[in-house]
Amino acid sequence: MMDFLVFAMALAGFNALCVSMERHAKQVVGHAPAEGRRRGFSALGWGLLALSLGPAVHYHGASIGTAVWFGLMTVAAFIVGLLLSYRPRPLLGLGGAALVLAVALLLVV
Amino acid sequence: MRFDKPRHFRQSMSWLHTWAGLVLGWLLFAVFVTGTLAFFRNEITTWMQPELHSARDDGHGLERAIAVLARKAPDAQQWSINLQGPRSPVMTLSWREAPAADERRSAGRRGEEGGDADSGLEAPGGRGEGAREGNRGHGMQGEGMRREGRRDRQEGTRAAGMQREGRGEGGRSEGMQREGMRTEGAPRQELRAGGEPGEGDARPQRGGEGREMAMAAPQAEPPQAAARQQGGGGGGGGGQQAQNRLVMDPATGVILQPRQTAGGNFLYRFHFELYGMDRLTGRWIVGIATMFMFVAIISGVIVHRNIFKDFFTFRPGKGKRSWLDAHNATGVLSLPFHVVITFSGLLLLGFQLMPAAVVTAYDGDTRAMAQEMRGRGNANAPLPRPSGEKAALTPLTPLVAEAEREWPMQGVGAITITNPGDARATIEIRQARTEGLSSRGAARRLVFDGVTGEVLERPPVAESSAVSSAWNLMTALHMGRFASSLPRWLLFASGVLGSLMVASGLAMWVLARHKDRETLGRTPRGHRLVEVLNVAAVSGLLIAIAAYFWGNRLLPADLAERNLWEIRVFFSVWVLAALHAIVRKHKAAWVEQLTLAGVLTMLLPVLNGASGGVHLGHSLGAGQLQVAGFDACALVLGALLMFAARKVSLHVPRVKPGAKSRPADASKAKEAEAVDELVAGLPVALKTEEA
Repeated sequence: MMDFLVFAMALAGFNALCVSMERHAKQVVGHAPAEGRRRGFSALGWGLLALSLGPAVHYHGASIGTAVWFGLMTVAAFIVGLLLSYRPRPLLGLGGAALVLAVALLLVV
Repeated sequence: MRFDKPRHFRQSMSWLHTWAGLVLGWLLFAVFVTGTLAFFRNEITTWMQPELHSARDDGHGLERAIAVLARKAPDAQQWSINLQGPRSPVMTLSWREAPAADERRSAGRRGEEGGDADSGLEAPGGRGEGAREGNRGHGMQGEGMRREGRRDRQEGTRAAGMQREGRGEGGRSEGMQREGMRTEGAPRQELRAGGEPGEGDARPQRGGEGREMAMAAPQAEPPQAAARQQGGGGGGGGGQQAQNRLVMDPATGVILQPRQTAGGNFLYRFHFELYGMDRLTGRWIVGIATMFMFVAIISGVIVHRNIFKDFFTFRPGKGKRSWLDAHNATGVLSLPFHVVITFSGLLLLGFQLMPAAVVTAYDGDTRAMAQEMRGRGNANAPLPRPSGEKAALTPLTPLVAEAEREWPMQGVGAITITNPGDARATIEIRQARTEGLSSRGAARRLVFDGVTGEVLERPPVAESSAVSSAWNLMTALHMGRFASSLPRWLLFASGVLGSLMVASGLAMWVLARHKDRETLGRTPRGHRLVEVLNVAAVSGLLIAIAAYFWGNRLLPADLAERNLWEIRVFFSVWVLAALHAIVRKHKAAWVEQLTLAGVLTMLLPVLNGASGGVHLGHSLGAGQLQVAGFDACALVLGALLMFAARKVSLHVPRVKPGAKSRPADASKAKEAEAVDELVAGLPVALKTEEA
């Protein structure tokens, strides 16, 4: 469950990062958001990625946690990249939805 | 590239990246693919022994194990039980007979000191882990590994020591089996002698013999001959069933008789020692390839100027551009993995590639170094003597439950019972995995009184020095020993991405030179060579691996030297695929081979169900995840291969009129021009060469 949280955070983080990039934002939203908003997305994305290290290390310990973190980030980034190439639209809410699901699961279970 | 004219740094790096990647790229692909599969070698071995598929766990396996041990080895001095777990459905039971009184001292903690064989000499830090993983890989490997591990230390003197197993000749890589056989046949006495540093002279000559054989044996020596020699050398062990090692179904207590197989260990060994050559030579070749890989990674990062901007970029359907995107994406997304796996791979081969440290500091005595690195001097401490009084053994289940409570994350891996049935019996329970990466080989233990069930001691884990921590960290990462199932799958996924990266890089070499060939009006011999090698090395290898699994099921189960036959199937099919790549046109070769690989791989689950294994529907339902995981993976990967084949076959390159070349895969002309300087810059190098 904790692993899924890490994965959801990474997914949301990469999602935000890709929306923060002009070219990709056009693919997802259809137009490029304002400079300020893109900055915001960028900060959000980097923030989420950095924060996702927390639960990974908390759950697996420092060394294994870091390895798991990198591995989950690879998978998350790969999924975001694939979606962006073939089905960019779902990226609008995917990261957020995954994050909500992860938190909900964590609270419920 | 011309060296007499100044070049920009990036251009030089681009040249370096191209050629460092190409020269050993074919080998690197094989190393990557087999290495990636090796993350799951225990699971692969399980799949390849369908006799084990129906084993279940009903929670009462321990009682059955004790009953079996009490029946088969009532007088043994020590019993060992390797529990079933996420990586193996069966319990492995082994024991050592009580020695004559004067030989008692050496028995030692086998689990702890043995088992380095699977990491080779270069990983002296990994005893405990190695032994445990080995043991969990049912079949006969576990025992062999322990055995080899002891021998390592015994006769591991400088580089020659690496050949100690006498496996240098033709039949070496299927070694696990043979080691197993030898161990089976070998009287326990010798085992103990082998493990006792103080008894160097008493060590059976077999060790030395093995080494000589490794050095002297001509490489062309047929594997069977080697096997026979080994068998003879091994005390006439031959194909006997293990006398002191059993594989048990935990739910029924039935002793299983798995077929002989080269298993996942063949793929594992192949990924760092290759096959059919002296294992030292194999390691040198792989070591050099790894160095090239490292160079290619670093230069690749330098050449790729927009790592962040192009992070998510993949533009499908745009010819060369798409290939470059795919190459970049697979490279960048798992860049941490690539860097770590390559660097740690170099480290693992480091004692061989750069033996200076061992030679100077330890006078070439790798054994001394290994012992110091392990930081455990008492591995050979004598076992406690039995009191002679009979006493019933306490039930194990509550003890295991207590240990599980203590290590909820790591779980219980193995149990060793010393002096069973005696009033002085002790029970040692060990973790299945260590807690961190730097403490590899230092699994925690709990020692219980074997009669009362009280905890006697919680031996502290030896502190490792900064240097050996770093070593442990890197090697543990490389071998994925720490990994529970999620990290293992993550490593596997990164490995797949890495294989794709290498393959796309190889394909790009051909693609980037498409324009050259059009201008030239023909395919130069060098290009054709690369084309053929690409097909043979990429799709040919995938066919060969699929055929290896088919061979595992189609060869008769009781065939003599079955493991060797499996390997023969693998290489014969690979050679056939290479021939096919030579006679067929480039595109046709890709399409046909990818299709074949896809079909063979996708049908593996069917084959599994039809040839004695547990089919996917059943294994999923019964929670047999080792088998189900293999089958599901085969389905997915096979489907992807067929998809790739379809993509290639649908591709219609636009060939300029008059061009006689047969381009593999070409892009539209205008895109070719738009491609950035990396790809466009590549043909320059070639032109110079052709000139």
